[in-house]
Amino acid sequence: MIRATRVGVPRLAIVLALISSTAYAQKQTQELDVQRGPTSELYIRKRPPAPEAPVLSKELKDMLASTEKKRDDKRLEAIGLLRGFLGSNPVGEERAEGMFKLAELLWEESRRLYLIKMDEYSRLLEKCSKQKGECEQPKEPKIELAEAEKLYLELHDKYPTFRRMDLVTYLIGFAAKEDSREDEAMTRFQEVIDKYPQSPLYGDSWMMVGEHYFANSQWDKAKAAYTHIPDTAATSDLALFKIAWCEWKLGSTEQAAKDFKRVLDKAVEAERTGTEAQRRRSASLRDEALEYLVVVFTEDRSISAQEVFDFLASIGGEKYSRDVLIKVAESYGGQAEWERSNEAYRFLIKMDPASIKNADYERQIVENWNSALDPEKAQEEIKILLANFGPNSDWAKAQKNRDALARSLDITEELTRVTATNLQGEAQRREKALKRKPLDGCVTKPDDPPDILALYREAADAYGAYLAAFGAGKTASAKSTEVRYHRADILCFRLGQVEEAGDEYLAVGKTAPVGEFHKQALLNAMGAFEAARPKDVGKRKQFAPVDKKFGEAIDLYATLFPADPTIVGVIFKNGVQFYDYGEYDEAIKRFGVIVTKYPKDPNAGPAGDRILSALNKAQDFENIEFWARKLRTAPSFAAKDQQDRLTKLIVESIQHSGQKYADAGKYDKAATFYLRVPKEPSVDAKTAADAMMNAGVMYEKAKRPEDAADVYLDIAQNYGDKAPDVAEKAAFTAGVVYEQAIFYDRAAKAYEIVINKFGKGTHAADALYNAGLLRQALGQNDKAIAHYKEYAKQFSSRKDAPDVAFNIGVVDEDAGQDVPAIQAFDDYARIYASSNKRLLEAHTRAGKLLYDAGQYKKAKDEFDRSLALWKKASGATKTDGKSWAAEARYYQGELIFRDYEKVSIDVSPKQLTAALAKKIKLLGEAEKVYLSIADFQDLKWATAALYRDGQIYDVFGDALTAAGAKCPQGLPADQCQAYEDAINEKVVSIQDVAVARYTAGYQKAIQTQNYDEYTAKIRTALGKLAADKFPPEHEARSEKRTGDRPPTPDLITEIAR
Amino acid sequence: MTPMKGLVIIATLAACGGPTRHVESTTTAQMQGKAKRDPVNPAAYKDFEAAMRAERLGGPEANETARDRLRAALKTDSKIWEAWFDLGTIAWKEGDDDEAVDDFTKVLAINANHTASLMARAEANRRGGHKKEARADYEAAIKAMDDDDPNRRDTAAREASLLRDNGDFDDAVEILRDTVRTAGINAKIYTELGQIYLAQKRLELAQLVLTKAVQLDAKDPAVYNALAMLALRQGKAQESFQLFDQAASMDANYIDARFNKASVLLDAGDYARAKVELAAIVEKRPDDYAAAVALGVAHRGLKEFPDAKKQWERVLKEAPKKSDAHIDALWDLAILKIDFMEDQAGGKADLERYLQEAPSGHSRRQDAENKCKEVKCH
Repeated sequence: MIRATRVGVPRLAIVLALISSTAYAQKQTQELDVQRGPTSELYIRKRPPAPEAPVLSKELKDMLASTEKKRDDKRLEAIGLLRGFLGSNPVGEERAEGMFKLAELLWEESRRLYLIKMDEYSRLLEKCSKQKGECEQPKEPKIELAEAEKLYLELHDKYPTFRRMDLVTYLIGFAAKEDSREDEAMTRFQEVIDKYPQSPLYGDSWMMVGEHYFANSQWDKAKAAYTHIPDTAATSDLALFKIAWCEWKLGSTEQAAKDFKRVLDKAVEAERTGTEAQRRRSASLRDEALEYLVVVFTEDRSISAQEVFDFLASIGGEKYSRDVLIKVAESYGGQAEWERSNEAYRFLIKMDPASIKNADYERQIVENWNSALDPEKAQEEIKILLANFGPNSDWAKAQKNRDALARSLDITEELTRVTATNLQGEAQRREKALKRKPLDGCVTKPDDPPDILALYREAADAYGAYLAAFGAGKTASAKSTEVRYHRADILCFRLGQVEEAGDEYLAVGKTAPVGEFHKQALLNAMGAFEAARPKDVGKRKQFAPVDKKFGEAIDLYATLFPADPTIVGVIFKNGVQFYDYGEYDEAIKRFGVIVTKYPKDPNAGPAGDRILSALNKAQDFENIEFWARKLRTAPSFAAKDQQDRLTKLIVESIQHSGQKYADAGKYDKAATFYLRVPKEPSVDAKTAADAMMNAGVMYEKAKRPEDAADVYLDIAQNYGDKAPDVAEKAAFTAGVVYEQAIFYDRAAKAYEIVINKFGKGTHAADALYNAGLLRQALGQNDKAIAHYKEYAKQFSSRKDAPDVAFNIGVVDEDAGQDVPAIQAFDDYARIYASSNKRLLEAHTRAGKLLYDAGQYKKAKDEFDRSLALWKKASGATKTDGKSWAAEARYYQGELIFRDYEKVSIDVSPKQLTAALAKKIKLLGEAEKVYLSIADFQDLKWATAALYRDGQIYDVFGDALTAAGAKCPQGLPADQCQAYEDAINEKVVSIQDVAVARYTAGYQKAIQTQNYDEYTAKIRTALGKLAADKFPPEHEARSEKRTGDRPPTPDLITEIAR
Repeated sequence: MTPMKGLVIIATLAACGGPTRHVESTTTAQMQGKAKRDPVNPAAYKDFEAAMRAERLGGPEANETARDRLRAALKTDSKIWEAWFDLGTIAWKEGDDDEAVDDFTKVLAINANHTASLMARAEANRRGGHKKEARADYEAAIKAMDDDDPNRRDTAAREASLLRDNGDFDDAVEILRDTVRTAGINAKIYTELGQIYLAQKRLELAQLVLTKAVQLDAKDPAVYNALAMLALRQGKAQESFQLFDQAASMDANYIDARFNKASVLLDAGDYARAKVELAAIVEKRPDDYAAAVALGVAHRGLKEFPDAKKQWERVLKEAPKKSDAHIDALWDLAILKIDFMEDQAGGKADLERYLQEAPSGHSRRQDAENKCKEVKCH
């Protein structure tokens, strides 16, 4: 024993080591065995393969095959070794272990061989199924477990206390079941249940018992057996499923549904938390549970979808309701129970109105009706499908997964289209059977049999619905053009709805890109519209809306297929129709197509004539211009007279457009129109100049005075010869505009252009006058005088000519040019002597200038003439000349005073008396003259005279003072002082006279409010001579104010909110 | 030349102009912003009302009281831009230009593009010597106005006058041209143009445009005032007086013309009539310190020395320290005391103060220095 033990141990150890190494590759399997045993694998083999079984790559497959080969080789080697070991008759526990291991390996090997045989069997089956004629069906292989079973039986009988007797007993039972020894198998499973309630195989044993009764339709017993399987058992979900099944079989439908629901719950949980294998199995089980649940529900056909939902909700299975209802709907559909299926689908839609799946459900309803061969109901549902789940539906707008939506809409589009096409196809099929002649145009009255007609109507409606959803815009399908064309055909050739057919054909023609349907569609459109137009009653021609459509079709055809000349006649005819109706724009479009697209066609000439005629009557000027320009290049209008006609028309159109924009207050734009006129070839100068004049006016109104003036000057520059009247007026207006815009130099130049270029024009006099005035204002006296002279010369007969002539002298005088000024005043006095106007002024001004120039005699003559004229004058001349006469008289005094001043008293005492006498005489004379000025009642010169009167004494006093300070030659020194004192005494009395005269003058000036320079001089003199009485002003005070004091802000006295 | 002859020239020149539409100017109140704002805090509103009541009642403390209440209103509700505006207006009237600028700036921070504030700030900036800022404000105001806003032309005229004062005549004319283009011409534009030409000594051009101004608005006294200035420049003092008189008679509130008329009277030594005119101005506008100075001169001419002294002393007390009126009054007071009131000491003191405060370019600076030597200032 010891030896044996000693030998045995190493041998067993070797075997175990081998087993161990062999088992490495089987480790997972062995572990599974511990939990569930190989039976589970065998059981599972009968179940359908999991759909999510992984697909292995070639490398992995090769690696797996290699590993399996090694494993199998190791297993066979271990089997051999164990057999050898058992052949050595070991005893006790060692033998038991050896037997257990050998049995297990043999089981494994049997299973491997069985799988190989099953594979071969499957191939043979498939081969047989593909063979034509008779085929001997292969025999299904069986797993060979006899050797393993024998070992397990020996172990069971001889070693009852073996540590895994539960497994041994279970496998004996399993082997018996495989061998169809049901009773024996049940005994063994019951033994495990009874003896080993803690065994992991406890649940499996109950499962085997349950399956046994299940297979024999012993539902009560089966259910009882399944009920023993604990929830923790791996097969508990399966058991639950079987329980539900049993309940259903036993007629407890509601309980069955509840149990199925529990299966689903477990499956969902397993899918959430279980292993990959568990998830696969659970998914499969769930599907099966659902299927059976649906069977449960659909078995009673009185149950509505709402009731299914309510039931599921009541058992907490609301979450399965969608899946269940889908299967319910499918199930009903599969059973041709269309209404019930549709009800389920509608319920699904109602459950979640926003779901992307809803379109699918609605499509299923359509499909159901299609399958039911009920096209009317299918179409009704299509309308619902498009309205609720079409591309323009709120549902579509609400979908966030746009890819999914696009896929769904594609399917809907195809379903809708195919359904409609099938309707038309069916109608055509039936019609074909009638063998009727093909039509060559639209029918105005349908003549198909009612059934066919009804089909066509349905098809047209179906196409209409399709096109409403997929016919235009962003949702337009690639097939929409074709569909529309088909619909148009039905409307035209079958239903007699000709105008609508024309609309559809025209719509086809308008699609892009141009394809196979376009040409025929447009031709058909024209035919349809022509057929659709109402007939004119009598001679009364009436424009119909369909005529416009007809014209549109023609236009499009001519645009898309310009090479087709056959259309020209139709276009012309249509154009004439519009023309006769007074629809000139439309008529022009037709004729324009002919002229521009088919210029060589014989209709081109008459079309052009019609255009011109229509343009004359139409009022859309920009359009008129547009067409007139187009016609210019047309061969039929190449002749000169035609070109001239067009030019005239274009020019008139431009001007009318300008007027239109002016009326609308768009002056800038109006100006641009008017400025285009001169650029037109062969437009006459007068028209061009007038248009530019209008452009200038527009710029003025647009508050662009410089641009306006530039345009006016352009006219003057470019049309002076050809349109002198307009050009002259333009130049003058430029001056006025520049003047208004405060550009006086430019204004003067503009007026000078009038003078220089249009000297004989109607504005010449005003321009000359204005130019003179502006040049004078600008200080350009030479130019001003030249203009005034020219004016006085050229326009001497004008009423203001004397004033202008007189102004020459004034300007010269202001410019300090005394000689020309004197000459100007003399000329004036000579030329206008008979006018008796401003003659006194002319003489006085001339005299003053001569006086200033030292020509006293001539000056005296002028003053004398002035005063002589005044003496003779009367009325207004006397009144107006009063001031000038007073001034002349004053200067007469000045001439005497000048003589008085010349008399020196710086003479010897002997001569002094004579000198003084002469001086006093002259003083008296001058004083007399000055005092006489008061007679003229002119404040200024009266004050001046009073000043001069005082000043005479003042100056005399000064002279005496100077004389007194100088002791006469030869006078003894002691008499010098007496001399000076005597003189000073005289001076004081003279100064008193001066002060008295100044004071009188000053008081008179103040009294008469005369505040000119002479008053100021008097006041200054008094400040000097009588400072105590008339103190001079030494204070500081501000200057005169310009009057542009800042605006004082006013307080805001209220808060306005 | 008699006045009649001057008017003949005006009539002659008038022949080449053309009338344009005349638009009455709007009041400041009409130009207030229209933006919807939060309601005013009632307590602040009450303070604002109290300030306005104080202004209505008038009196020497009116401005101070109003200012306090306006500030109280703003302390309660700082978003009452009207209160800031009124504070600015009071500051402006009192000659506190910096304060006025700050206040109007606060208005504009709340009520952007409020044209009355922009214009008022322009004037405060201008008077404060900030010509660049003043111009920017004028331009902002013009930009904020519609083309047909009658204030647009007046504001443009003000901006042009600023540039004129600065010697930027070409820019000034260009601004007026721009305004004429968009808003058309009016008498104020021509009058300002006339002032520009006067400043440029282009008297004939001034004559031309002022004649046009008369044609456009024969009732605008500012035109006659400008014509009077032109007459003065042409040496036609009597004509000038008559035009000033005409301007003043057309609008009794046209202080500038009345002042100018009085100024001519003073020039001619007609102190009695000058006194009447100037007294009327000072009564109407106590803050017209230049008029008060001139009134003092009239009093002195009439030998009413205490009255003259009283006027000048008031000016010294109330007029802004750096204003011309303040400096003029200082000099006038000095020579009154020295030459007429036998107050040598007082006169010397004023003289010395004048020499300290008067700018180097003041018209009487040289006289003052001479006088100082004469009376032996320190």
